[in-house]
This record gives sequence, C-alpha cells and structure tokens, in this order.
Amino acid sequence: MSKINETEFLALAHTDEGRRVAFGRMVSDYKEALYFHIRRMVLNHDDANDLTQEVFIKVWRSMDRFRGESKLYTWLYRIATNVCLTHLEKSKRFFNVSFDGVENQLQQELREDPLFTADEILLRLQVALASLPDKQRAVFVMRYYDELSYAEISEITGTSEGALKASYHHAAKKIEAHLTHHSTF
Amino acid sequence: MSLHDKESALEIEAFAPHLVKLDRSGGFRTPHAYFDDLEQAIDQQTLPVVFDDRGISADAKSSYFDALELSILAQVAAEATAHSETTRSIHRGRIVRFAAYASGIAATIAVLWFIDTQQPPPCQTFECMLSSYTLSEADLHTLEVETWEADLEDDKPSLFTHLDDEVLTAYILADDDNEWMLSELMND
Repeated sequence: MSKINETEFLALAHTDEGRRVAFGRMVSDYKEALYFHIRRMVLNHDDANDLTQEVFIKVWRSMDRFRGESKLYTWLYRIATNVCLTHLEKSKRFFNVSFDGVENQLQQELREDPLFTADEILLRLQVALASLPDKQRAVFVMRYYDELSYAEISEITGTSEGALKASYHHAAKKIEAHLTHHSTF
Repeated sequence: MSLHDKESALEIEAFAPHLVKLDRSGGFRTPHAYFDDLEQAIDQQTLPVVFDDRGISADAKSSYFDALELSILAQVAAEATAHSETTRSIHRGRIVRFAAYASGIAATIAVLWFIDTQQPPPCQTFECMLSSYTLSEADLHTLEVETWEADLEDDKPSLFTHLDDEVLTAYILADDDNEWMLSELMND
C-alpha cells in the first residue's frame, strides 16, 4: 500500500474513526522519515525520540486544520522542522554556549554513541553540519539527506526557491571549508 | 537517483568525493524494534481519556503521564480546592509550572478545570479538552519556556516548595532522570 496522501487523508478525516485510521496511517507511513529528519537536526536519539513524539501529538491535535492546501508530507515536514528549530533555539538559550566551545565534545559524543555508526569522514561531516546555522542546516538536511526538491522545501519553510538555493550553496561552501580546515581526506 | 539528488550529490562530490558513496542515513542508527515502540508510544498518547467523579481517571495515567505524576496533580487539586482563593491561585501557578516538567498539559487542564468548577471535565478526549478550556494569559505565560527556564535559573525551589515531601521524593526516586531534582532539593 502506498503512503497516505492528502486526498486519502481528507476522505478519511470526516469521522472520529476515520481520523484515527488516517492518523494511524500517517504514523505508520512517515514515522521513520520524520524521525531521521529530526535526528539529523538534533543528532542524539533521545532528543529525536522525544521530538518525533511531540511532532505526531501536534499533528493529532491539528488534523482538523489541514485542508489539503499543501502536500500531506510537506505539512508533516513543516511541523517537524519547526519543532526542531524551536528545540535547538531553546537548547542554545538554556545552555548559552557557542558551537566552538562544544565542537570537540560533540565529536567525542558521536564517537561514543552506540547509535551512531559511521566512519571518520561521515563523523566529520556531521560535525561540520552541526556548525551551520540551524535554518541553513535544515535546508541542507532536507536537500541532501531527505532528497526533497527546492519546490518542496519552499513549501515546508515558506522560503523562496532562490533563497533556498543560495542557502544550500552557502551551506555546501561552509562544509567544504570546515572539512578542508579540520581534516585531510 | 533523482535529478535533484544527482545535483546535490555532485555539489558535495566537488569537495568531498568520498561522501557521495556514503550511507544516506548519515550513520544514525536506532535501538532494536524502536519504530514499533515509537508507534505504540504515540498511540498511547492519543488515546481518549475518561474522567471519574474526582476529575481524573486511573486510565488517564497510562495515556499521558505516570501514576506518580497523576498522584501529585491529584493531591495538588485536592489541596487547592480546600483552601482560600489566594492559596488556590498559588496552587494553580504551581500546577501549571509542574506541567512544564511533566508535559502533562492535558492533565493540568483537567486539574485546573476541577479546581475552577468542582466538576469533572466534560470532555472525553485530549483535543476536546484542549479546545474546551481556555488557559488564562497568566497560565500561558507560566507555561512559556522562558518562564520555566527563569525558574530553573533563579527560583528552583519554588517549583516544589509546597509539594508534600514524601510524594515528591517518591516521584523523584522513581525515575533516574529526576536525580537532578533530588540534588536541587538537597541543596535547598
């Protein structure tokens, strides 16, 4: 069975029972994609687990407001991205530290994380990604890992495609500079 | 490989040729059977909640919060209804602040409803309760993370001062994640 889309969702969501069925299918169809989208933003599993649950609770609570004006999965990605950005902003305000101060610690944590299994190059890429501004990182993650088009990312972020292309280009350049500066391949 | 994937891969390849061949997951793994557990956890949090004549049902604990959180909220509600208006408003602030920790917003609203009306909430579902009960501006302000963070920074004991020590200690000890709370209390 293909993933639930906006047409099927709207057809189901007229009744309480239909809402539960539609929600169940959304969870079943999109939980992995949204979890990994969130995990790439927040890096550790525990935070990603909490935030994925938060995203789906928000979805459950706001299902009535979905009118099919966007694709269902871009609506889900929008909620997930906003939840991530809010979480990252709160974390920064709470801990009040700069990235430079935590880079080594982040690298160490990723090395010791049993749920992060990657070689040195991939680890350095993650650290380089973590050095990007949050919104730029979100754009990069959606484009590079989630393989979304600029048109889809535009729908998710409410940013023009031109601005997204520029953002992605800047992100790629910064990653290049970070990898070149911090390592040799 | 789709067109846009090819474009982004080429852009990366320009400076890091190894990366384009790497695992698209980014190296992130999950615990065994995690997605089954996740689905179950989400399912539990969206189950309908039934309230008994005291305002909170035992069933609710499996849906939104654990039994100890429930007992604290129930105790606070019972205390609040037995006291003067001033004390009641203090309790109200404490319940809302507690919600920031427990994430039991629905439970909090149920308790506030009970305090205000002395009746069980009329709703049977989470979303109905949220839409039926309007939190005051003060409640919303208290729920804001800024306030919560300020409390953590400047006024840690105020979150717990009026709670029964035995209940609170039991709650803290029941959860390893709450060890820091215990240390805060010990320093109080």
